[in-house]
Amino acid sequence: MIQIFSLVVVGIVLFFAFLKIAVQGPSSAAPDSSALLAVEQMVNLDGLSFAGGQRLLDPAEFHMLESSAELQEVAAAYRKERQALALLWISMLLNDVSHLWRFRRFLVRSGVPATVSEEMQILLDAVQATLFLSFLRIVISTLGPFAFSGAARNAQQVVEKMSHSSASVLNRLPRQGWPEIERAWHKGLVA
Amino acid sequence: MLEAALAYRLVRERLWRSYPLFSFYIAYVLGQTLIGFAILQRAPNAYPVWFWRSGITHICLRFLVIWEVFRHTFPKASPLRRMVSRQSTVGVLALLSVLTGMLWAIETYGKSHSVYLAMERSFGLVQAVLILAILALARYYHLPVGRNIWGIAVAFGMYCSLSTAASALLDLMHSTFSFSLWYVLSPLSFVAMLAMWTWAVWIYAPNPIAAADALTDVTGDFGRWSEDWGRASSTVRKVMHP
Repeated sequence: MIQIFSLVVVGIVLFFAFLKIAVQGPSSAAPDSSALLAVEQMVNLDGLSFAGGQRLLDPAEFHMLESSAELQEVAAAYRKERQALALLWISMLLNDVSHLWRFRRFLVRSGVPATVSEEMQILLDAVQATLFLSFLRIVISTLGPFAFSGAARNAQQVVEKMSHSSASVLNRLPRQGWPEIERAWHKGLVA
Repeated sequence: MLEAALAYRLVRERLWRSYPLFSFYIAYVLGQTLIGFAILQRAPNAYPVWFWRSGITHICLRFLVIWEVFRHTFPKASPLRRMVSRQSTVGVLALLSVLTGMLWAIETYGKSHSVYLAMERSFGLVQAVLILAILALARYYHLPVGRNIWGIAVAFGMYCSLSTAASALLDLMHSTFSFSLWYVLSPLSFVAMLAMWTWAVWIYAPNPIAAADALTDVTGDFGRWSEDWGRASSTVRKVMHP
């Protein structure tokens, strides 16, 4: 009896798992690395290209300094310096989000095919990334740079996600057209 | 009607060439329905025997759909196939042991109700888990899955999981409670699966070439380059030391 009942439960759980997959839709192909690189070059993603984000929020060195009584002042200065750097990095990531969003709109405006659901998704991603990074900025300003050391990876991931979606749109264009897109994008920025 | 539409799309778009196992399964389902209908018209007394026997074969043939999804998601040329094959063999063996155990367990029931229902829920569970594992692996390795295979896999998984739950509940119902919805849930989910499959194979949308295949090509190119380089080096050595 218990065995049959557990099968009912497992069957229902499995059904909801498939339902979730059905709602998510088929996984789209990841853009190739050349498209990602091209987007990074065209849009100048300063925050994303900074590799030391995780180290910036890592509290290990601070704790080492803080543990010594003579180095308390150094630790406090170190913390303040890290806080300023972390805030600067978060601002750069926010700029990246804004640039990627603008770049994506520019691509679609230029005639690259995209569906409404994709546009809604990128809009959602952009809002999510902006909210998350703004929240992180507030946390770092109030609680210090080491309050959420694990958030560095998430901060980079949300921007990477947007970079991927821009690259997948760029990927739909023939490669020969990329320099033309880059010129038009920079021209639009200057204007 | 849906079965006929599905068969028509498979033939019209020549999808049977790309998905032969899936097409065979559809041909069986179509044949089962047509023969069943003919038997019902001419010899209604023989229909129950035909229904249960062909139904059990039908349950077993569903493994063909799983293999079709697997071989398209992890093509032979893909290095992932080699990696996944070993783990999947172990997984399949484990699931088959569970299946055998569950089928044997029917002997220990206080009151045995239906072998067909026991088969339906045991096989359904194993098949749903297998198809979910393939989809999960494809997602984990970021393998792009085309509309055809995605639609086939998801609809099949939904049907198998619902059929597991429904057939288990039908057995429970005899001793606990009665709820007529569960009688029609399994056939209804089968119709829904056929509808989703018809949508999935309406156009030919195979899995995009996986990055893994591109990697295989690069490995092949590197191999050819190494051979050429080796040949060039030996020529140079021969010229320098005749």
